[in-house]
Amino acid sequence: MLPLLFAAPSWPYRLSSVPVYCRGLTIYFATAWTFLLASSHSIAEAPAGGNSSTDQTSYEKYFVERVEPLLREHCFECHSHESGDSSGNLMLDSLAGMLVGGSRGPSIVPAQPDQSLLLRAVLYDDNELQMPPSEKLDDEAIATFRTWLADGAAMPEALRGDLSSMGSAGSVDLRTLAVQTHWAYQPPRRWSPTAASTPASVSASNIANTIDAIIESNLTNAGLSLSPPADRTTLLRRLSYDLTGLPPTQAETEQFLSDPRDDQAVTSELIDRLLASPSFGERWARFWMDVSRYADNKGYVFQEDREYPGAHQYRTWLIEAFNQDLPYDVFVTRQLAADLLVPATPDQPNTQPTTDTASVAQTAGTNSASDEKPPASESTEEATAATSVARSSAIDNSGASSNDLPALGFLTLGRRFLNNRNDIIDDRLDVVSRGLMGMTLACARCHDHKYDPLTQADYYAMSGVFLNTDEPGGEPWPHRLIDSPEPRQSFILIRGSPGRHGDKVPRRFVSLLAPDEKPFKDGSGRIELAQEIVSLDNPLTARVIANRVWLQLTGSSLVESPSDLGMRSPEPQQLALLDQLAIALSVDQQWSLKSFIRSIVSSRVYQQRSDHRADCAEVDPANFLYWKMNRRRLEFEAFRDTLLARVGRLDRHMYGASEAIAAAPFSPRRTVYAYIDRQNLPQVFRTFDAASPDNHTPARAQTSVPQQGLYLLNSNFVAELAQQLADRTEQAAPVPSAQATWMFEQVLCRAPNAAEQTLLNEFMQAASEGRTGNSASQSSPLAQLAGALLAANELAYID
Amino acid sequence: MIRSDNQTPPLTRRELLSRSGMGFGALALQHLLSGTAAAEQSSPSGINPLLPKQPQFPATAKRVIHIFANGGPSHLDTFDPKPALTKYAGQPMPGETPRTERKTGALFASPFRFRKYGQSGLDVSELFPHVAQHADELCVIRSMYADVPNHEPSLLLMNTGEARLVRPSMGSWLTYGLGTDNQNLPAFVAMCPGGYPIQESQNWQAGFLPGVYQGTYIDTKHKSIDKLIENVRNERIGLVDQRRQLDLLQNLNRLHQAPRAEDSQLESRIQSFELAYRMQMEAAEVFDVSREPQYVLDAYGPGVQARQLLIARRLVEHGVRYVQVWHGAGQPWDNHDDIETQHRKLAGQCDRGIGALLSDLRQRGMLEDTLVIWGGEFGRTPTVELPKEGANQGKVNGRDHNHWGFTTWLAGGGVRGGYVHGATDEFGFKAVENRVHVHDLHATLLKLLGFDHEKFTYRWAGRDYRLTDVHGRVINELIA
Repeated sequence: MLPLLFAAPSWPYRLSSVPVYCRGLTIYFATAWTFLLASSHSIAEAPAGGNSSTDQTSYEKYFVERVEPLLREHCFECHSHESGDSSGNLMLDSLAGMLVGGSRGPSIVPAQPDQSLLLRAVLYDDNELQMPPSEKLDDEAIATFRTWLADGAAMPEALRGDLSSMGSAGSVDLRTLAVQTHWAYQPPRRWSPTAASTPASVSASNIANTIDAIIESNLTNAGLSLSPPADRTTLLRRLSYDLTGLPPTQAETEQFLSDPRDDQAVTSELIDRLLASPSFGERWARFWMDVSRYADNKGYVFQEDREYPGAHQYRTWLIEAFNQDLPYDVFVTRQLAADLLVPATPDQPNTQPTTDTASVAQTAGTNSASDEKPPASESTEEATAATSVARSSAIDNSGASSNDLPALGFLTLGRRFLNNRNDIIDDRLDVVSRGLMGMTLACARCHDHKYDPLTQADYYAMSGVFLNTDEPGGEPWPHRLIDSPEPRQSFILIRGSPGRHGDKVPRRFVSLLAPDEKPFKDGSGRIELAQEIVSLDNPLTARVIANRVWLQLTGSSLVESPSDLGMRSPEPQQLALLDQLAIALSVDQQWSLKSFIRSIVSSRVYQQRSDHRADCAEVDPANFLYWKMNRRRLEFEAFRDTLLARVGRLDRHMYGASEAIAAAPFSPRRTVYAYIDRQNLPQVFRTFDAASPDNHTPARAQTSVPQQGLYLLNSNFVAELAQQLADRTEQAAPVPSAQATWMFEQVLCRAPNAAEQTLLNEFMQAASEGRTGNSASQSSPLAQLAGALLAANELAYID
Repeated sequence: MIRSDNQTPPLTRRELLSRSGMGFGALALQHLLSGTAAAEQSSPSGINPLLPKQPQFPATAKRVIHIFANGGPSHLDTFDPKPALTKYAGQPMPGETPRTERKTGALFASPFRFRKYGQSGLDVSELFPHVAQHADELCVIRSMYADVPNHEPSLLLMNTGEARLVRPSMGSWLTYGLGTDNQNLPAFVAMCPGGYPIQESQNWQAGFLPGVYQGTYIDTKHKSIDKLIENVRNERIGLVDQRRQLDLLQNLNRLHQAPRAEDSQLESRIQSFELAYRMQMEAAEVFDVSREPQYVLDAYGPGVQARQLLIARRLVEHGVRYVQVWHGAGQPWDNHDDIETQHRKLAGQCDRGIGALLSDLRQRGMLEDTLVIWGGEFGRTPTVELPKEGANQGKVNGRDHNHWGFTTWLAGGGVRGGYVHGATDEFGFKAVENRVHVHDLHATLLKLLGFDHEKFTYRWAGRDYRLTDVHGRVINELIA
């Protein structure tokens, strides 16, 4: 599942961004919209590079030396000013001409050869479009076109042409073209089944069915089909982890397996119960903590106090927000502007938010005191009530109270960079733009974005919002935001250098999505910023969160890079599904994440088996089309929680301050409550691919390194758990011959089969004999057995 | 626990193999003992991101030992002699004094004598007589410069190529690009006795690269292996018993895997446990310098610097890709006062060990493809630092930070030996001739290791990042 480091990126991304190795990309200080001309090269094709600017020149040289002669020889006869012919209204003698295209639309999409009609034409695969008409070009020529397009379609300035001279496309500029052609900048489109491909069961009101319909229609087209439904044991485990981050208990397993009702009724009830469990919030809060680069301290700040006192209040707020199913638009808005939303009533003056760190947590604790029970005790009525709260269609800010102030942790809990103001703003801008919109705005700090239609002015217009957001002292850390009393003017900083002021820029949203460039009026503009982000007209926000949730539940991302939907993010193979999910979440379900998650996990796609099928793998080896469910490894938090739970040690107490988990005495609390030391993150977090607290994490890596084995074989933490499990086993099963079996059932939640039973027996006998012999091991055979079982693959993977 | 001092003698590999029980475990161990190639074949590529990889083009250096004199050693008192300093000592420096961190006064002569060494006639001060024996192997860059006169940004710049933001360290870049030759040891080791240097583990951070490329910190103050490497020892279970335990685990895993045979993740995790088992033995062996013959121990000399330099040699010998050797916690070379006694003490702690390391690598035929780097985050001023309350009160015998000009030397790995590159001004304040920025050094180091610094990139957050960001040029004169 790990991306191949030295291979071309494969689709779809399952993990963190696939490293693109050996790209000859250098930073090129582009002027406006030359992103279309910028380029990257594979090493094999790379022209000899000098410094950055000669690199760009060398890409242009590639065009002049290799591409232009091909165009001249094979295309200009019918598509150039020189010949005076423009067949199909298409001119290929300038970049402008290519971009504007002819009767079939733009002939090229820079950086995306497969989206370019020019390449499709020369490939001769499409019977309707084959160029040049005389005969197919040789492979080398086609490869040359492909390389040139992949590298961004660079062309010397003199040859680029003037778009304004392009007749009907007179008002079109390159940037508008980008906005008009890139998939992610178009509004999501609702899926409408054609009669031919509609399975009989489709019901427009049922989103789960629509997910199935879209995927089944694609599978059918490829001659494939969904796998059969997973058995109850598998489904229970999969749902428990995905919704609560915890394994099912033995009792839950027995009850679920023996329930006489039909599978659908039982599963549906299970889903409701898990969604209503307080553990749901703990699981999904951690998901969001990856997005928001959570840590309990500031990173390196020399001699200043390194702690973020009260950082955990942000986590408490997240857990409650997910459990209460705060609509995502409100969820986002409060994280950007809670301080501005708190009503200034005599009871809750917004100028005096609570400074008592304990009180928020306490309040939180009280609210959920009844939820402290294990999920099994939750009733279905409660579950339904929790997710069916009606809300108005506009952003509902009326509900904000001073209890929501910790939501600001999303902005305030980043690295402090020795308190360099511009760097702190940059960090906030990055978590907002990449985390919420999949927009790499931080790339435009020193120059216009190289690929995306984002200018340096956009960067400083947006950063002006945070420039006008102050941090009053005396408040717990997550709360520390307030609009500046006096507005500060934001300037473009030339090459990002604080000493070099360029033009003034008003605070506003990125012009890509708000072309009128209307300045924000209200204080810092944070509320207006939030409104722009969660607006139903924003084509990115809903796609980004829908894809993140889909990735979390299925183990594969629909978008190649979950936090970069810019120009270099190719159109998803399942764009129709992504769009449908985005619309389902934002429109149909009015941003209810619980409803959205329920739809996905209720689908037959989600509930299918994860078994390999040779015939399907031959057609679609990477499972792009979802002919099976992906097998997934537990992430660090779920795995550590599982170890604690299986030994009977897991402390389900919710909320409160973070606890160190890397050193003894080992906290038995859920890993979501682990203290995250941004500066010196303990090795165990890195070893198990936990999220880095330095930056927003788009998706986790999934490595298998020997340090993980060492941790399980030798760490004091696992040794302590193994000993405790051995002790428990001896108490629960006094007859020695029954102990191994009891322990096996305890850990894996099922009885051993005959082969496993034999292994257990043989091990116990050999280990006991070894012990009576000359062994120096302090660890008892039972404790050794416990260590082996806790390290088993079966425990670490979800089928 | 089976210890070598216990009643049970340590097991040989062969014995372990013969006792390792039935089934899979024995077979897997056999694979492992036959070397990394087997492990490579049996674990699908990409699953273990640390498997060895080829660089972009043939390289002269295959591994790195970076000796970091943290705090800022004085180039004027070590490798960059300035007669004018002696001549005009006590007088104000002509012209404007460049801005540094604190206030400085008159020119301050080096209290140390310089001598010429080797056929190249390289000037080295009396502080480094052992290093000086390798004069003809040293490539001394006297025209280094950085951006600011403060420790934090300069340390980050030297280690990550970026002074403020979170970026991967050079060691992380290289383990990302090259993997490592020995899967039983960490790929990138950062040793510092007694605690962290300033800026702490950010000096060996993986940044946005996957966490496996992060440097593994080792506190070389400790001598016992279980304190040196996390979880490498288990006091509760002996190796024979643990092998039996592992066999059970792997056999259960095989039964679990049988109906899921096509899933390479499962196989990969199975293999990682075998590697872990092996690592226990190999790591313990490598960090145990007492296994060295007495004459080698004598050559390196006493003390923690000697010990960690010897460990560094043992690590690279066993296939570790990148080793950093920090002088000590905090900023030991930061001698704002008492520079004569302090520098003498510090150099005295490491000179012999560094000299021995170079000889040792040479004798083992490893100096040719092992790049050794020595230097700090910046140098020191030729002018004396003025006393300041609460700092160097009452003392006028030290030097302030100097990022305008300083010295870094390289040896081995294909660099040009017996060569001095560039020069500082008459007094040694600023690099003036053939100036080499830290980015240029990085670009050159990458070239020695087989990478074009402009094409060695990692895409993150929408951009293709480089160690040298948008800077750097290869200094070809440094390359033999």
